Amino acid sequence: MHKKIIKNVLFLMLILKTFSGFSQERDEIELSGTIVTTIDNKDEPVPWVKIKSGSAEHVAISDENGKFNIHVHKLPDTLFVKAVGFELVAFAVSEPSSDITINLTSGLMLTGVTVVGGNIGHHIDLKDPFNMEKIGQGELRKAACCNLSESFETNASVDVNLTDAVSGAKKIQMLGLDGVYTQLQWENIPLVRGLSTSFGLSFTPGTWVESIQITKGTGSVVSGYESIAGLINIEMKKPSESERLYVNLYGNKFTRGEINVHGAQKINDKWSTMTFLHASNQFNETDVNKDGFKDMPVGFLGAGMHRWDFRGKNMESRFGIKGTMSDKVGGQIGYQKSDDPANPIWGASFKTQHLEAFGKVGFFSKNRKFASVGFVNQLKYHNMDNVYGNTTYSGTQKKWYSNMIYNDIIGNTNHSYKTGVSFILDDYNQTYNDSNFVKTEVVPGAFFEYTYNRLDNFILVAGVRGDYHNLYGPLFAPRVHAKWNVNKKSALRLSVGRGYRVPNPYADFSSLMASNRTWIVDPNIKPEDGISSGVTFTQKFLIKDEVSSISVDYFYTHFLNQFITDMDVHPNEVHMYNTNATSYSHSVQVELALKPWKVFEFRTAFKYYDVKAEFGGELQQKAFVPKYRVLLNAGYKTRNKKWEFDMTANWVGKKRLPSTAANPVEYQRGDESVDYWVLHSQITYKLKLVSFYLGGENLLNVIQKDAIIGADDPFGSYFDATQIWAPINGINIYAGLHFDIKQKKK
Amino acid sequence: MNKVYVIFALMVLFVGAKSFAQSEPKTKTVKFKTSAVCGECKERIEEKLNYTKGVVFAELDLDNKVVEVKYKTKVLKPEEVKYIVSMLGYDAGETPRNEKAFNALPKCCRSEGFCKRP
Repeated sequence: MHKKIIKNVLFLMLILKTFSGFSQERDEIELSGTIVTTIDNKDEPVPWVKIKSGSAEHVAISDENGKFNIHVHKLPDTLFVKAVGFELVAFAVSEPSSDITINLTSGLMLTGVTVVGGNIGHHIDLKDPFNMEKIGQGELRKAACCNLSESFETNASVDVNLTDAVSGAKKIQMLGLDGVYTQLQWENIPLVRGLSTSFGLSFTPGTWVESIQITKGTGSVVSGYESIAGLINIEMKKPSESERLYVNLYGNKFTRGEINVHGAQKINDKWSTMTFLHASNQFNETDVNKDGFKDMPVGFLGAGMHRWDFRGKNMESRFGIKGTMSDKVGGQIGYQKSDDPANPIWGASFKTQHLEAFGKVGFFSKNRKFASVGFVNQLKYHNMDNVYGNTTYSGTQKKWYSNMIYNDIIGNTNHSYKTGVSFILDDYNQTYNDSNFVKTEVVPGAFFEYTYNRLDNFILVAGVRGDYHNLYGPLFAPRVHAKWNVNKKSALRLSVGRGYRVPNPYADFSSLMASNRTWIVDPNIKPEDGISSGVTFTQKFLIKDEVSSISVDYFYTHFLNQFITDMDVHPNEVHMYNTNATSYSHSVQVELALKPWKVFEFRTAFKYYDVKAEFGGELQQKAFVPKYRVLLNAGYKTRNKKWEFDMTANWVGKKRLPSTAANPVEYQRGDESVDYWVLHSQITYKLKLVSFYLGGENLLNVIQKDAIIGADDPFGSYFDATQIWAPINGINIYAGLHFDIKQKKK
Repeated sequence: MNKVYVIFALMVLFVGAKSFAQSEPKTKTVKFKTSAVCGECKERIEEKLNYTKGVVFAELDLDNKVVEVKYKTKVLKPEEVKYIVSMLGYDAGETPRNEKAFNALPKCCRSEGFCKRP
């Protein structure tokens, strides 16, 4: 009897609860209005635009007259409006209203990519169909030094490695594949490519960067046929939003000094301009590992950029010039200071001049509201003179890049497309010792990319592009990306695509000249051809109202043709040749980002790389690519945001090393490296206008023992400074400051 | 002579105030709703308060526009905290915004649309 009563009561409670649930939903507030855009001083309605509520995650779509109506849970609320060709607009509503007018016009934007500004740190978006990670200002400042190669320090998807013990150059790696397979762009203009492959990362100072977008696997066909392992796009600081004056100073214990100065100015509503200057210098020769070689080259790097932005009614433009010059000397201590012919000193010198002009222009159609045309242009001159002991390598590259993109919808905003044509002209003139190589590459291309977007929950991007290379014939690259939001907090992404790359044997691996290996290069070069496919699952969850996430991805890259750099044939030789033998990369990454308290963030990633190809006639793991890596990152910020503490630890597993068994015993090294931890830490103290930072790199003082093979006889045939798998210069301590005066916002 | 009295009286007051204050906690937290709209407003309010003498920390929650301020009771009063926010152009609890400061705010912070930072 009692049981029955309890049962009934429970049942009643359940019913009540259900009803109260219903009534809560009925509490919704209805808002309605019109989406308009100003054309010729008249407000025109914009149909088929998505409107999202900030509180309720409800979505509405405007009808053919631009009218919409949406239900929200509470007021005040913010409505987010996203339309093709317009920037994301947030509109605050404080009272129930049935005639809200949202004007999209002042949100015109050139690229169509909305970069969330401000202090976002590391960020994985659930909305984008591409598996894109964003690194914002917050994250970039965690590693204060120096250029692009350090910007990826706290990111799990991009690994950065020292290329050799002489030049100090760093190279990135994605999916365990060499950096040459990752396409690097800045604001959709080619960045590190051709002759700048080896040193290019150091030409972009870190403080110029506004944010970085990293896409794993193949990128959009709009960007070109390259990008097999990944696509990285860098957004530089914009004239209309950046600091009026910004000064950054940096100095470290190895006597490296840096200064960055930039300033932006809004001239009027339409025009704004910005100037960037950078200078860095390594003053003294340092040799921590006591091998007689400078750990870092001594010398200067200067860079500058001047850019303009124009925002008109139906037209936008960005243009400017950018230049770099660098003059550095590496090698044995005392080189170029005491030249005694009887007792030669092994030295290296690196000189680069680089100048480019860029211009982008976008037009928005008056009649077709979603149609726009973008036209991107770049002219570039790059000259370098490098010396590695008795080897000389110099070259000049002239480049012309153009890309024209037309954007429109088919019927409504659920279906949109981008199509266009591109043109690349690369004129190379390279000299390696006595050999001269001259080539001109002319690559016209065309592309079409269709996007199906169902309420942002399901997005499919299918693209295809065809290019005709004057030396290698047609290149055909189809690519598909899809994203599905399984629920509000999780996203599943798939991507499959084909990419190509034309190798430049000397430029791509010029760091290997820091050895006396004989270069045996197959003159019959074919474009590298790879298919990359991947799946990513991202799940967000809340810990005490703070967003945490877990993300798992797996990428498989298969090369149909690869131009292999093989150091396993003989320790005195490096072979470069085409092969269609098995070559692949399996990469798995698990990343967990936790924010258990408002003030504390923790991130950890585990990476597994199975990267195999035929080296020395045997299918084996690629040298210098560890099978396992772990990243740990912890950040603490006091609640008044004045103090910031950051720590990053990288565990790098064992790496296979090229065989040195054929060398005399004293010049032999093991077949495997040892695993090690690299620990970085930084403290920042912020005042209103100035913030100070103090940091340490490689705090556990890990130094690769006897890093240079044959350091005692650098002109002998066993000398090799390219077998680098760990830091070579021990602990670094640095300090500096940021000073900024912000622009007034209107 | 009068001066001596005044000084004496002040000393008594001061000591008295001090002993009275000792019974109060050193820091207190005040929470109040503001008329903040977007990330820009959040930054403005937080930065101003965090660099105000006597504030331990200030945090604004954009979901409900409530700012939480921990302050030193000897230096600040909650009314002063609200006054500072109102002088930035935002309503702070029952303290109405300063109209002049409000009119100088960027468009989006005046709820006239277009917020770049939601």
